[in-house]
Amino acid sequence: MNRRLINEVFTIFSSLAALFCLVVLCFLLTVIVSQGFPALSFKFIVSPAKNFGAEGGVLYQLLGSLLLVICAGVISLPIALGVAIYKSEYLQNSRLQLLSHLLLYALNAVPSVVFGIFGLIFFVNILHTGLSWFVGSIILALMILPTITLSCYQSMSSIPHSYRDTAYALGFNNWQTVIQVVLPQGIGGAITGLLMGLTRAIGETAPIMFIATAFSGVTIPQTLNTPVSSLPTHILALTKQATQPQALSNAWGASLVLLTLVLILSISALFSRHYFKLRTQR
Amino acid sequence: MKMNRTGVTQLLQQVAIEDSQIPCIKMQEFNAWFDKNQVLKDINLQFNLHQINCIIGPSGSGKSTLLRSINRINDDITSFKHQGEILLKGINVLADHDVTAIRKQLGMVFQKPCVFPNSIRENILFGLQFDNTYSLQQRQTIMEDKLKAVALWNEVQQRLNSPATDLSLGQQQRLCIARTLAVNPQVLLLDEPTSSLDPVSSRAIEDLMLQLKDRYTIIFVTHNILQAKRIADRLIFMCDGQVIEQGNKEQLFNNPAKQQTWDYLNNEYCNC
Ligand SMILES: Nc1ncnc2c1ncn2[C@@H]1O[C@H](COP(=O)(O)OP(=O)(O)O)[C@@H](O)[C@H]1O
Ligand SMILES: [Mg+2]
Repeated sequence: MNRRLINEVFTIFSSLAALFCLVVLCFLLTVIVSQGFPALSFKFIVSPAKNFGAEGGVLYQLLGSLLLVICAGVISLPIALGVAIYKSEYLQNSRLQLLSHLLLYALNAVPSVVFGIFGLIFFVNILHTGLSWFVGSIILALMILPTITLSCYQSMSSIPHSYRDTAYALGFNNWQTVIQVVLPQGIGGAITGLLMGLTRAIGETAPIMFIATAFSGVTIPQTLNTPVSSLPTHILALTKQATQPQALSNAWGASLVLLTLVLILSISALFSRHYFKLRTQR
Repeated sequence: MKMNRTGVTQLLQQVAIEDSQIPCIKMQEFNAWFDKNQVLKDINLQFNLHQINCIIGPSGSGKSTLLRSINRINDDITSFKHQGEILLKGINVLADHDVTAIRKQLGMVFQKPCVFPNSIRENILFGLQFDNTYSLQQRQTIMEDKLKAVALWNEVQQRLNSPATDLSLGQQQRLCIARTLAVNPQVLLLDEPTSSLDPVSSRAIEDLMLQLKDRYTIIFVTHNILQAKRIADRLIFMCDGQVIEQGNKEQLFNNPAKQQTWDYLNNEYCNC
């Protein structure tokens, strides 16, 4: 076979694959928007759920989801920065470097339900925390840690070596170099990774459903170990009582709210990556 | 001899050598390896005070490694090993000193201009960020002085807050020199600073060196023989990790002791 033929076959194949993805995505979006839109209104967003979610809105679910992921980000970001700095500046041994990379990828590949089970056993059963939104945040933080770390590490390790040489030649010590050279360049990767991590975390049900969320009667938590409700677990609960048409319609509405959040986060991640790439390339 | 780790800056300032015949830096029986590969072999040489000391030699002969050994930037490479002495005004820089204090005395400029993606002002004052002995007013003065010293003041005084990366490569390299001067070193180590610049910018850097040598000891690596001929006071010819010959420029160009030196300086040919 000649090269041109192979080339064309591949072009057609990859275009078809891209087209297929696009069609599926459009189909999903259309279904969710068309089903969810009738339920959606300003009132739906700002009023609490009533009658087990069959009536009312998703105010506390929305706030609960935001609380869970924002707190997860706040926990995860400094740890990820620390790991990334350690990997890029201090870990000299190439085998340990490889091992740490493998561990991060492995952690990234752990199914989210396993994180949930871990949280249930370790926090709820052993440490007796009870249902706690804060434990949910910790588990989500753990789950998005590799995403943030790897993205941050990537941008730190792509800093030109001459930057570090220049800083050392000016008489900076290791920490001063990290603060003035490595962090300013690496922070872009960290923010991009954070947004990607939050995109993933906000849609997750499995890691938090056993440990952090309750279905009804939940408002804004006053203490660390009270449950919240969240959009994905709310949707799950509503669809289980699918016999009630109003509940199902509210489930679609909540799905649309969640989808909007996910889109906002992932588009910000995209912009963040683009912005920081431009800034470091100058 | 083990020194007080903090005292090295004071120590170096106490040593006053005014006679330019006395070496500022002396390397004695210096050897260096990357893993098992010996890249510097039994180096004995001296760099004179307030002169332009040019190191020439074909690429791969160990010029950069030698320069980077002096300010100990290679210390951070795990495979790098060395042996011997490097004396700065009689003090062994390889002893157990505070290495950051040593590096502040030995300013370094690299082959490719390396400006940070910050403003011109921030780049000049980059090395002073952790030094709170200077007031805001003093920083302003330092910035102006150093920009004037590298003949960049007139070109950039209107746009000190714009990104340094907008400058031309030649301007960027002069900015890098100014940034190094701001830390107030005694010695300037320059590793082929003009090799990525156009001829006009290269000449500007050469002129700058001639002006700066009254105040700094300059060690200038180049593989451009004509450039060495224009600016050098003292010339060191290196090949294959060894110093083949060193001495005054006139002596090496007109009356070299070694045939290899003559071959390289006249035909840029080297068979070592
Ligand atoms: N970081 C390094 N690791 C291993 N070998 C190196 C490293 N830097 C330089 N070398 C080797 O040291 C020798 C001298 O290189 P260098 O000092 O850069 O020469 P020059 O500056 O004269 O061109 C070369 O053979 C080069 O391959
Ligand atoms: Mg070199």
